[in-house]
Amino acid sequence: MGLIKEDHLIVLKSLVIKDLKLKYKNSILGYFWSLLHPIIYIAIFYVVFSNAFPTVENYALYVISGILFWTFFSTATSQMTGAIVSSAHILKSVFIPGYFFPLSLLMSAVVNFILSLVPFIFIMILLGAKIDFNLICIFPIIILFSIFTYGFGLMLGSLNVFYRDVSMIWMSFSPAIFYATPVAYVIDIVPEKWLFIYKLNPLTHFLEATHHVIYNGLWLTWQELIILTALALISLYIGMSIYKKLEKGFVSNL
Amino acid sequence: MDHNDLIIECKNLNVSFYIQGHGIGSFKEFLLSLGTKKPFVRKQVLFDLNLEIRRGECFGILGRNGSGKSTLLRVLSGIIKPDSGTLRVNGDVAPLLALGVGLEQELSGYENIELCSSLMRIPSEKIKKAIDYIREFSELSHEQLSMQVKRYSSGMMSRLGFAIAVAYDPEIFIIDEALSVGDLFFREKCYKRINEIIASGATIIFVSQEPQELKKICKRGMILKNGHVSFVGTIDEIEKTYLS
Repeated sequence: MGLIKEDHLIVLKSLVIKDLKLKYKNSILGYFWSLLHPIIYIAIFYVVFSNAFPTVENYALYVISGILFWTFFSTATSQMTGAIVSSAHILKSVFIPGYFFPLSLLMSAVVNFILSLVPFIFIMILLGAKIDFNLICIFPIIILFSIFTYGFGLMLGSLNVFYRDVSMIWMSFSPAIFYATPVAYVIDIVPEKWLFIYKLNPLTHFLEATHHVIYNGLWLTWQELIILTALALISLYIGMSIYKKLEKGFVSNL
Repeated sequence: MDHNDLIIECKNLNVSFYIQGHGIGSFKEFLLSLGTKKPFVRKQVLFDLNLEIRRGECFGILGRNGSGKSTLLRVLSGIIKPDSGTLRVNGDVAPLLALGVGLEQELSGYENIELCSSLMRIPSEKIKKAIDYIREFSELSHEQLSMQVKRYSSGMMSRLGFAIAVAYDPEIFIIDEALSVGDLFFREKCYKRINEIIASGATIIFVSQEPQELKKICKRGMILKNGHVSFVGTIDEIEKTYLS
């Protein structure tokens, strides 16, 4: 893939700006949707599940920290799946590396995510989250989670060029993964014998780390940091290998 | 000929398409092979191609549909990598972005000027300076440029696309059957601008299926037939050979 050169940065920057602009073009509420969407989600989960988990103290806070991360992951991956296909006209007429298109979508999703985090911090304070220095741990989590998401999205986006089924498959499977990840429930309710399956799901580790930091007010442990870094790098490696293998067929198959 | 005079030099260029090897029916096969199987079937498009284009000339490429013209242009602009052979390009290639293919429908004309220009790697100071020129050349009003491009007529879109493409004095300028659009007056203006670009010392590669079109600006050219160079020579010789 090589290093990103200066003139590549011009391209990347304008793609990110384009993605951010396009996201809320023709909508009245614009940016506020990135707040409203998780709020609506959270409200639904609060109403439906808070009675189901009476043992979870301050359930709303627990759900918020999980759903913000989940929303980022699911919207970013579903957009990245179509990123290369929908940029066919550009890919065929200018030399721009294909991995730029998912990358710019991811970057605009990260910008959006961080912007939407600010008001949610206030909501979380209202709900009784302890504001402490340990909250800075959220940044390494966001960075590693973004890398993880990028690797995964790059894989989906590359495969989707050849099999459009990929986007359908992902659309049907992501809700299942949502329920297989402790976003809206606590991992303690999972029976011990099934726990290893949960540990195999990489998202579990990211969500648990988030809960530890925001909900429990703890610092990220070294062990967690190492696991998250490893997961991010593995995902990036897989995504890049698949991209590398399929790249030369993009122009002929789009 | 002096080598410094050559702006584009291709030697024994072989270029292929990579078509996915497994049809929809054999998706299972692809999954079961776990990626060990080659994902693509190669289909050669350009064969052993030799081409020399001199600095400052206007070179025409003539060929029928499917002869490999667009593929050749994509190779020259770096979008497709050749399988073998050498390709030397001694200058910046202005891409085929003309004609508004790069225009984003939901964005306004102004936003598109910025987007398309940065996709061509033009720094933002240069874009700002070019905006007046683009507005004037495209004959679009301030009001129209503030509108979303999806509300444009196809003529307006190609005017904007062409104006963006010619705004930056590229060293090598590629025109891919671009001039068949727009009304008569705009087309005349395009030819005038192309002649200006030639006069400024830039190199032009003009692709078409019509010898008459090529004749308007090119002096030399080649005929591409089924991926082979079938003839290289002056434009008159080319017209004769092509029509015979």
